Amino acid sequence: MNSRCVGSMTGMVAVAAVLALAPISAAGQPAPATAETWNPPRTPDGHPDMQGYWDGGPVNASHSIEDGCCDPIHAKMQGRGPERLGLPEPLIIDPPDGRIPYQPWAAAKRMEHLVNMETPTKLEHIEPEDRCLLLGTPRSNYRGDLQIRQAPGHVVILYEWVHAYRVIPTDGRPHLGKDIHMYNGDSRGRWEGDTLVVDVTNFDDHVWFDSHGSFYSEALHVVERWTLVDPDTITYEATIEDPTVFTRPWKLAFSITRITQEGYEFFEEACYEGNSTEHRLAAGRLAVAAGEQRIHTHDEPK
Amino acid sequence: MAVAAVSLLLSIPASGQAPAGTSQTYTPPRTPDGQPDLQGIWQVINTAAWDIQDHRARLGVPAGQGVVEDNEIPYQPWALAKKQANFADRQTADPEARCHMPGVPRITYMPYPFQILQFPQHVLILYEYVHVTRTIYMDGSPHPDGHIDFWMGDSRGRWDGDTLVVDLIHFNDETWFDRAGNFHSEALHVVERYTRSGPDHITYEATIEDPAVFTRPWTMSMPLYRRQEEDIQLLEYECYAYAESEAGQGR
Repeated sequence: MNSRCVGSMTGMVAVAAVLALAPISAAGQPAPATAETWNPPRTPDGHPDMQGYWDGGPVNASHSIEDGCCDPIHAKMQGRGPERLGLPEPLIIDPPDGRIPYQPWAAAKRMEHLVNMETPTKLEHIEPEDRCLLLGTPRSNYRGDLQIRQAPGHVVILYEWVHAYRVIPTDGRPHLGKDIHMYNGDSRGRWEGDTLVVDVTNFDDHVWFDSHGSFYSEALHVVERWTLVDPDTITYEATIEDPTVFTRPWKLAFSITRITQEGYEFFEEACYEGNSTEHRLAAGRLAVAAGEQRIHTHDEPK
Repeated sequence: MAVAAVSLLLSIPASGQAPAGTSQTYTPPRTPDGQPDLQGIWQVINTAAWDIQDHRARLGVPAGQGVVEDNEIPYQPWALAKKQANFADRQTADPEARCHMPGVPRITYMPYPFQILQFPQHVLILYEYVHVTRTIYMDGSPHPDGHIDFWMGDSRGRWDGDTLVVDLIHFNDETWFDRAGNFHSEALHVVERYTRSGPDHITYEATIEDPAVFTRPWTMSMPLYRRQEEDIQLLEYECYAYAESEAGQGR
């Protein structure tokens, strides 16, 4: 049987996905108070205290930031009813149509990803999440739980997924030299009033924004804005700029909600240690040989 | 002794502090909530990654003085034979060759920097090597029920005077202690001790207990050195991603 939501339906990755998404908080959060009307608790150095465990961006976003996901099987695996297919609300807030503004060549390349990802014959056909790669910025923020810790001079974000982390210096130091590239990019933070603004550069281009082949180049530049708007809600906004791939900068936004479960801890998310891309490629080659290559779809097989 | 030998090879820091290993004489600065301050980016300067015991040089392997007390790992007879077999097969059998998380204490003396961060309820250690993280819970909570097969174990910590003491259980049996085939079972119990011995040094000690493999507990120790570069930060070493890309065919 063809697996349809390839991005997170394979083997242990699927199990991990379910675990990571387990403590889903209520989707219908009330509209948060605006930052102007609310004085947040503060760390000793006077910044809003965002520390704690958080449920990352909306369910399904990591599957497709344009459309969400997915089919009823996938929803069932994640313990969701059919009403929670797709995205609860658009993730991309600019442009207004909610679509990624690819340049024509990039739209064609993205289509290649959609054609190859179910039946990969080369490593670059495999959805990066299925290779257990670090998912970069902003994707890590909508792929499961995160933990924020603040100390003078830096903010640290830990992600349960593949035990990723980011150390974000807030001491004004410049970015790394231009020849250093990293999956998670190089983050530099500053406080604009009560908003943490993080400038991220020095990316590696092996990572996608989602399981639908949405990609970028090493010229990617992300500016994140993290604002604590009530005790249990962060509004998150990221401006995405990559003149090599997109026709214009674009923006995504979502809410991040606090995990309030008593005694909550991350588990060790050993993804790669139980994964095999070799077998994926072997299966992909067999499927291509059998004429089973097709554009990735969530439709039921005929 | 190995610790002293390595220290002597380094220039003494400008502040004129005694070299590592003189922990009794050094009073560490405190974090705002009063913990001895272990924070910073640290790295070993030794050859334990290759072999935690005394070893001669080989191609690509510097000779080294061991970090194990009395240079003796008290293997049970069957386990010594397995260690020797591991050594013979080390090029392919070493879990490091598969880019797996290396376990504790091995992660400490991999030739990559790591960062210690302290918070009131826990200590975080972030490692550059395959972005390993450890959360050491300092809230008095017990190990979770098990057995759990964690690669990096479950870390629960406490302060013993100015020393951070970390108790670890819940390991799998798939990691080694070094590239020379020293190994353990999932009964492994590690107790780490981190003690500031100067402004730029921590004395690191790990006691290894595994009744399935060893005849008695044994201990290794080494200094950790603060990275001095003003702009030092952790970068990425995504071992498996690079290995797959080089192989081209997946792994």
